[in-house]
Amino acid sequence: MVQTESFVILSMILFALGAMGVLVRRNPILVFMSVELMLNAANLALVAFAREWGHADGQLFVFFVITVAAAEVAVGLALIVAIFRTKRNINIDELHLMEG
Amino acid sequence: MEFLLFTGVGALAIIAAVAMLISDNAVHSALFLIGNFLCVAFLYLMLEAPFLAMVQIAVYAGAIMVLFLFVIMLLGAEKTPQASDKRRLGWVPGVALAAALSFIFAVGAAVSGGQIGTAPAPAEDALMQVVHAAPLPAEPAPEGANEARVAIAERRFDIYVDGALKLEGIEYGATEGTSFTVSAGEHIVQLSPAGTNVPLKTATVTVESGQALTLVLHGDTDASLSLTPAEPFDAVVARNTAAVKFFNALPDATSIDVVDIQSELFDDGRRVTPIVESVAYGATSKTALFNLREASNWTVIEGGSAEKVKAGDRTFILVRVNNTPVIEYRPERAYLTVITGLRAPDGTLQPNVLKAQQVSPLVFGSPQVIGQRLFIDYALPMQLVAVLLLAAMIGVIVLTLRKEHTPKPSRALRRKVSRPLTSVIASQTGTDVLHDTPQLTAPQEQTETVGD
Repeated sequence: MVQTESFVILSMILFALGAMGVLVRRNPILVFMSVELMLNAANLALVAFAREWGHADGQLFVFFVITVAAAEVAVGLALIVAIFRTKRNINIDELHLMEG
Repeated sequence: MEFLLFTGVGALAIIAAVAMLISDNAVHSALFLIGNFLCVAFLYLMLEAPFLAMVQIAVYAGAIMVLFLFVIMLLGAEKTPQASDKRRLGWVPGVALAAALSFIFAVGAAVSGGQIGTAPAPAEDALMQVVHAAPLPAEPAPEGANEARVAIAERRFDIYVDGALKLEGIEYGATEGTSFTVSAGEHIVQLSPAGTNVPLKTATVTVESGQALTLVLHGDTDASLSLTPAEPFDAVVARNTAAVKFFNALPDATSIDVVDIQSELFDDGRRVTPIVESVAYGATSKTALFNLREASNWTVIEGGSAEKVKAGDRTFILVRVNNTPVIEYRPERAYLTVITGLRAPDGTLQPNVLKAQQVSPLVFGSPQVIGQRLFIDYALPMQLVAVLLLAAMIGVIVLTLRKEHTPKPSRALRRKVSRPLTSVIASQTGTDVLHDTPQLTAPQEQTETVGD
């Protein structure tokens, strides 16, 4: 049986990669994908801990995370489409509508 | 071996994540992310979460990524324009953040010494079930006996497992509600008179993970009371078929046969269609499969004291259990059927049958466990999440259903006419237009005579 620690370390690495992607990439779709990567890393840690403690609640939380991620992706992509329609450009560095 | 597999799949996941980060084309990024999700789904399988792994593939790698690819291709946003590649700080903040996160995680790992938490609670994923098949003794407890004596005479018992009270005051015939979860491994089961913790009998049993073990309490006299584990079921139950095992707990029967009730007797006493044969006292029979579309009349012979049938030079005792409505088998289930005795008012033992359905323990991470948790324990959060999904759906529709800019017809093109056109013409030409225009005459009412 692979130790829980190994899974948690893998989940840390994936989370750090996702966080890096959010900051580095400027295509908003890629930023979203990086957020998904981070959520997945968190899910992996939850499942690993669920097995560690022999308790199914950790797996339950993964369900909720997946559901919320699906909702978030749907709304986020709709926002991107709406922004693209008005500005014909989705580079997040050039999106400063709300700047004072 | 397993660790090698983990290392390989984990490395693949990291490679896919890095490739997603650095690829220029957004479509390639999405495909790499799908690869990452598949790797994570494989890790879920290794973590005893098969249902989650399937959900991960279906929802993440399927639905969400299709949405991503759809939007990328819809917007033509595969590549960000090269001109805007000049970012103020480039890769510096991202790398710095990743380094900082790694540092924090490393510190956390170092502080905890690589050990997470204390010793985990063992998963309770095995079931134990007790069937009380010890008939009441012929004589009641003597006057003035103490509580334990009375409990023994009334055959009311408590069951302790490893010193912890698991079942309280079970009585003869108890088959339902007498199961409890235990951890896999070896356990000491103790039988005590109800209300006391005095060990009357102890048995050491071993249960495996995901197994259901049935203990049969049998015996006629106080001294012969014993707890015997029945053999577990191993056959996979087919459609329309019930798996049945027979346990011989009939006190004065050394061996019993269970045969089809309609089967004919041979001259030498054998039956044409035996179901199980030669089940010794305290033993479990092989698994018999009952096809429930056919009649499943069966009977127990030899032992008990019901109806005697003379066949050859052997005397059989027929126990007609088929006519009792309590024995009802349902398809795709497994039943342990305990043949035991029931003390009649005159003190004799009448054969009796107890049916105990084998409840399979809920395996950790299985859809059953998840479903039970999701729809019973976490029903309200699930409803809230459903509402959230609905809100997201409506939000998406509102966001994307914005009307296109259609230029409104300008007011200059259309002149408001406040007067009727005929009067304008009349005032310009000086003639009354209205009188020259043919007037529509109202059609005369036609009286239709309906011939009779």
